[in-house]
Amino acid sequence: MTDIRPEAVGVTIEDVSLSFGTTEVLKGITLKIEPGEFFTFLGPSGSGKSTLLRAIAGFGPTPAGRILIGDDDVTHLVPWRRNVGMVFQSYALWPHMTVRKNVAFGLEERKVGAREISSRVDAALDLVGLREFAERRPSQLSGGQQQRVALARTVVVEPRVLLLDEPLSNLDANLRVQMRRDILELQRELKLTTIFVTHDQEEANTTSDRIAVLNDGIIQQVGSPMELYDNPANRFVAYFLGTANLIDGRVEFEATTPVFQADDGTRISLAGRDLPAGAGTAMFRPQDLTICKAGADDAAAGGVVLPGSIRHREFLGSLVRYSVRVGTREILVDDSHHAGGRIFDIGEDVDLHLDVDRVQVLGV
Amino acid sequence: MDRFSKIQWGPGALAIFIGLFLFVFLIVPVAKVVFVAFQDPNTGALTLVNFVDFFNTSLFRESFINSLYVALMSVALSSAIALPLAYFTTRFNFGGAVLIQTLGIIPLIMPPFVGAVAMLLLFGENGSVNLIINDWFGFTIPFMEGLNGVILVESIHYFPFILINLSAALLNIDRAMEESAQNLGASGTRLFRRIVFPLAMPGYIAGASLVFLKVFDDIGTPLLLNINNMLAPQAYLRISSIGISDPMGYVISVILVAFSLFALWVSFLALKGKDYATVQKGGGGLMKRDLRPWEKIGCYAVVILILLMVLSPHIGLALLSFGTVWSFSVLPDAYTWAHYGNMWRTADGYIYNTLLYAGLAALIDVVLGTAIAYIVWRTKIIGRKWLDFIAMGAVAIPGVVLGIGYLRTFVEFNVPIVDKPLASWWVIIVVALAIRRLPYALRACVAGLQQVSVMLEEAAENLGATKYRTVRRIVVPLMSGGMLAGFVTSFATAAVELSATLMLVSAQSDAPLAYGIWEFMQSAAGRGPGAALGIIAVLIVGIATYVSYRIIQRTERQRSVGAVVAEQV
Repeated sequence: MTDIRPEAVGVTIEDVSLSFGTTEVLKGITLKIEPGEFFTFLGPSGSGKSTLLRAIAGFGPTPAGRILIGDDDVTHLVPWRRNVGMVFQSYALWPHMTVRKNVAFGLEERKVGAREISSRVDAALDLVGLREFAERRPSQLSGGQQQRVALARTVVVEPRVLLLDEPLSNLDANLRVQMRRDILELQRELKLTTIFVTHDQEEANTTSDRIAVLNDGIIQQVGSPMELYDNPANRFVAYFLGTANLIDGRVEFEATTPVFQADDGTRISLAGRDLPAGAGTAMFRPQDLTICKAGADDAAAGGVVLPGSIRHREFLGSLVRYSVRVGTREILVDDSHHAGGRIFDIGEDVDLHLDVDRVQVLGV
Repeated sequence: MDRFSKIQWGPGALAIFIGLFLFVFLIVPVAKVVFVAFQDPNTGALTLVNFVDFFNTSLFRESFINSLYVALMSVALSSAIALPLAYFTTRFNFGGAVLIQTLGIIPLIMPPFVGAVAMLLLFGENGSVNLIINDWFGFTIPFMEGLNGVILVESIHYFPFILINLSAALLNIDRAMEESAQNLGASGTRLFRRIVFPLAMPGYIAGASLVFLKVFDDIGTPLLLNINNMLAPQAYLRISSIGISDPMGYVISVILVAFSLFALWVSFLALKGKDYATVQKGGGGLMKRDLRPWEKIGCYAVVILILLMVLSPHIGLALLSFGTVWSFSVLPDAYTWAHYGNMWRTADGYIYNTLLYAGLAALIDVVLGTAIAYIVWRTKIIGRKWLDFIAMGAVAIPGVVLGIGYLRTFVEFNVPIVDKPLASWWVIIVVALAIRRLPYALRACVAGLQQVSVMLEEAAENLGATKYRTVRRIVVPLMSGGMLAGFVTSFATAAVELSATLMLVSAQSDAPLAYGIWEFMQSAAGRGPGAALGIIAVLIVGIATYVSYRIIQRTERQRSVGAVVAEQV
């Protein structure tokens, strides 16, 4: 069924706002999703990511602003005329129909001929590896199989865009990893523009071409997974993607050199950076620090030295994550682990060497 | 070492006791009825001759056809009433929804025969409505003529079964079920026909088969409307006029039971393997939408018309109880309290008996219901499913059949101290009521128990409580909502039950309310006081239901341990 596909189309969202009663759920969202892209809305619950996805499918109240699929303005179009395929979080397989009937439904609604329906349903079930389950009822399938039927039911109608609303959240951990690979493979094979909604950063990072991080109805940042991780635009993105140490303070200038002055007195010189003066937050990842015995003159480590003592220790396999008390705050440090490597004990005094080149200063 | 072994003798003994009770008061009487139906009245040999006689008698053939016709038509008319109500409340943001949900249940708190006479005065040939229609348009509509009357009265009383079940089914459809269909291109009537309707079907059939069963078994309504050529009334008339040995009453009983079982089987098939409750986290129920102004007017018009009709028995009954003379006029000529005075002089015994019988029966039901629920869901006693199955089986036994069975079985069993046959001692009425209402109480108790997590019990046992102490301190307090719901359902429905009572009341002084109303309604002069007594019955049941509803709501708020109240009648 891959031979004659329509060209992949993009999705354009222009200044979309939406309220439920007095609660503003989406506040002026503007986005451009490229044709064939695997795009993810990532955010915590209540961030508006599902509402935005549903607005693209035409569910929920009509939003202010414009939504375009390809060049068509669909803002005011009823859901059943949009030809966007949505896979629901609960799968929403109809329990009174067999798998075959479920998958055939959309084609029947499109008045496709019986013979073509039969062959396309077979092809779609082959695609998800469930041909032999065609005559079963959804209740006789496992969660993963139901998920595949839901996918087959959606892609069989050859939608212009594929929308996935937290499709993996009802699966157990192993299946989730398998399923997200399968979904990605399917998407690549069909070259379908896909929008994926999740609150799980790992899912987002492993699948997406680009991610839009949403919080509080506002897009915080758009970018590839690595861009978001390496150059977060603000505290929220830094915190939501990966683990981050955040220190509040302000950027000041000593002559022409910018210096980050933390609220508790710590000074980090940021020579050679082009930074505006004023309040900001210094951000660095646990792997940006090196942990050393206190007082050890470790020239190799260099950078700013933060003295502290170990409060907690978590063994994570490839690395050991320490929580170190520095002044009044706790700093997380990762130390890569090898058999026989040096392990610090709770209460032990240590020096943390911060590589200043890795420090990011985020605006407030 | 027995003290620490895991074998528990207490529940086992309890199971045996309950089993015996059900055997003696449910299985034996029903078996007796079936046996007599197949027995030659003269020789005592097994034979089909009684059934041949039955179908060779034109009156019985006619009764059979009539009963079937009335039951099916009642299902149709109930559906016509319930479908729009269920659809409006689940589909639209509609202020009338609360009105429908509360007023729609009201018919269930009054047995149909109570309102039957009032319905004659409102919808009969010379009733209020036809007088008005005749005045304006010059013709009348035979609402209450012959079988029409039975169909109308039964439908108005039993449509809530369909309303409740259908609404529940509609509310249980996950919104995503509809949305996914829309996403794939379906809308409007196709969406309804292919997705919504099939998903709600099991709920509708469950409700419809209950209506069929109830109407098929009802004896009070046809008799009060003076329709004798139906099956259940014939069974009563044969036994009460010809006597306990006449085989036709038994043949009819077997047919009644057979059709009841058939209706239950249909409902079982409809629900089997089709647990369509598809609501997941994120929004349950159909997509609701707001009504446009003119739609709103239309909806309200339909709803108000239906509710007026539904409440007409109550309105008519109230008018009848306060009216002086009400004949050939739209409303009574004048109003008076006299009927209440008359009623009070003769009826206080009825009220006392009703409270006593229904209270005792409900108490027995809750005790048995709790015990059976615990035995079935929390122990591994062999045959525990049978206990549940037999107790639930009482649903399929019409009151008149149970009554005949008791008469036949216990007439020779003399109760020692009171020195009269068990069949004519008032306690047998209590037992009959308890057996008849046990399924409803049991279901409420099971619902209550299922909401108590086994882990809560294990936590108590882990901290040193014995099984018995765990039940007393954890299980019973937590399922008290369900038990209360069971008690009130049993009480409210037992208080107005007529069919078994009609067979078993042997002395005026032993008679309960429903029997009293029945007695009053036999004569034209007794209608006023009878209606007054009917109002009292409605008040007792209504207040009991309301109070329990409030108590359950409060306990539910206090802890999220719910109970099922919807198991009315």
